[in-house]
Amino acid sequence: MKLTKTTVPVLIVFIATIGYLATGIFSTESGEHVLIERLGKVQTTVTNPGIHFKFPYPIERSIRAKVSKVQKVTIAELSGSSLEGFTGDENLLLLKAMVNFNIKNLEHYYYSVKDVKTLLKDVSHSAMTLHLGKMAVDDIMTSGKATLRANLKKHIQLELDHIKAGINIVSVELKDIAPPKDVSKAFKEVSDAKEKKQRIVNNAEGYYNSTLPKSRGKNKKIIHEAQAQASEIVDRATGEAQAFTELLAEYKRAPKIVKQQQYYSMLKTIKKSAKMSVDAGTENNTYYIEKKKPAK
Amino acid sequence: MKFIHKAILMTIVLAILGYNFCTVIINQGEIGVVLNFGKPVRFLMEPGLFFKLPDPLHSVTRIDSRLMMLQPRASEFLTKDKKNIIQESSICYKIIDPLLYLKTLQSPEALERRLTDMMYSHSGQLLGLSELSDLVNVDKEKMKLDAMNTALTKELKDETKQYGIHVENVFIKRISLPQQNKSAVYERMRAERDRIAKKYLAEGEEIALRIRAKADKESREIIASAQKESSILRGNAEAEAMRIYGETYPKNPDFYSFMKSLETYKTIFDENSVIILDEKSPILKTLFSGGK
Repeated sequence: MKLTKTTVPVLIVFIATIGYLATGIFSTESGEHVLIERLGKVQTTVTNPGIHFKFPYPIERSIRAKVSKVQKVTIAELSGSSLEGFTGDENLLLLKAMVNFNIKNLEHYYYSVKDVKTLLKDVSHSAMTLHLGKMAVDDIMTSGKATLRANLKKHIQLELDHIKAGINIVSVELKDIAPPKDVSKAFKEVSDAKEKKQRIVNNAEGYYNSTLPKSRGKNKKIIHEAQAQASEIVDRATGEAQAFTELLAEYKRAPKIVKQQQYYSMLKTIKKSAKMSVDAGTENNTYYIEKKKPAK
Repeated sequence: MKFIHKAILMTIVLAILGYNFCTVIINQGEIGVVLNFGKPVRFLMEPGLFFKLPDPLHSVTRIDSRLMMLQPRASEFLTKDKKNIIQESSICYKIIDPLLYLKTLQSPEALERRLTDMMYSHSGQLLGLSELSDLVNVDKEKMKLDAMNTALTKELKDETKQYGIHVENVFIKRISLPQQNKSAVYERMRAERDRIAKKYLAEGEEIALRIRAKADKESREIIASAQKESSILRGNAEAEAMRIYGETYPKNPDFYSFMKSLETYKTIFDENSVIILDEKSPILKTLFSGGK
């Protein structure tokens, strides 16, 4: 085609139009949502990643946001220090909360609430006051923390959904839960007492665990001794019986001699320990058969 | 230049001028107010493209129609049980009737002042009917903060209708005490902690005592069973010995009893015994016989 005076402007207009329309091409990543507004009105939300087309400015406008990105607000005093709140049993307690969230619905996130983070903070703070006010201080400081967190998450999500804030609560963290400075010593004493209690109980258990093996050892010892004694008794009886039987054989051969021999042997044995004296009857003289004092 | 070219150019210029001066785009989340020399003549409630007369005949201002947060300063109130309580709340609201809003309040500042006044007055009323134990309580039946929040929201919702305002929710954020009233609470908390600490110690002692008693009891039982077993062992042995003796004795009862008495003498005399022998005693017969 030959360039003429007519075709040049048409070509310019054509190329300009193509270039203008090309500004409407945009791409999205995964986890990214794009809000398409036509003349101020939300038309659609692009949620799938890829290349997309919209009408160029000023007909359509796009707002993009990484909806999967977890953001965080902290519920604390302006200075960043912990909040002081009433527990259900009228104790004062310090704590801080971190609320992690991401965008659930981009349209709601942008157009329901002017300052959605302030709303989130206020809803969270209010939920904290409410749920803290239902629980006992000891509960919160020990096992109830998880319950409190779960309740807060549920409560905050419910309020936000009611307002259509377009926010998904990922998690609620509770931090720096502590008694106020004025009473921290008293709280410390309780935890000390708790530890001491455990120590006392452990000591007693230690006593239990050391006493029983000792007793069981003693038990075995007593039984072993008794067994030894028992066999001794039986052995002695057996030995004596045997000795008697042997002596009886002797005795049957020479009864008198055996008897006498045994008798004198007995006297000798006695003499090793006992004193002996001889009474000379009416003449009143006594012979002492003195025994040497045994060397001690 | 040909006529057709001039016409195209003119159309483009007119379109751009017309777009700039005679249309307005209202975005989502806002209300457009068309003003004729400062007087509102039309409200653009929906987002979209609208036609209007060019400036200065028609100018447009925008009002935010999204929910907004108002955070009145924390304030002190007196409860039914004459306790000073600091309450802090925030209000979530939006403008729904711009005509009414502009007629009655005109500016965001006036709106915020009015809402704050309402908040204080209703909070004061509600807290004046409550005790601290209604606001915080481990007993969920007696805890009325939820209900109070709802009541406060309802009061504000009703009262703001006349201003073209919709109150979505009121959030009671903080229930606290003035600094000078906290010491009494701290004192009570300290006393309570003290009691709990003592309780732990007493419990510990009790458990320990039980464990020690159990240890002693079981250990006595172990020893007793050993003693029992050893008595049985010894008894059996004695019986066995008796049987052995019993078998031996009948072989010659006389000689046996003779031997048994000799055996007994050996054991009954010790170093404390003195045996006095008569000179006529048979064992001394040889001693006094002079060897004859």
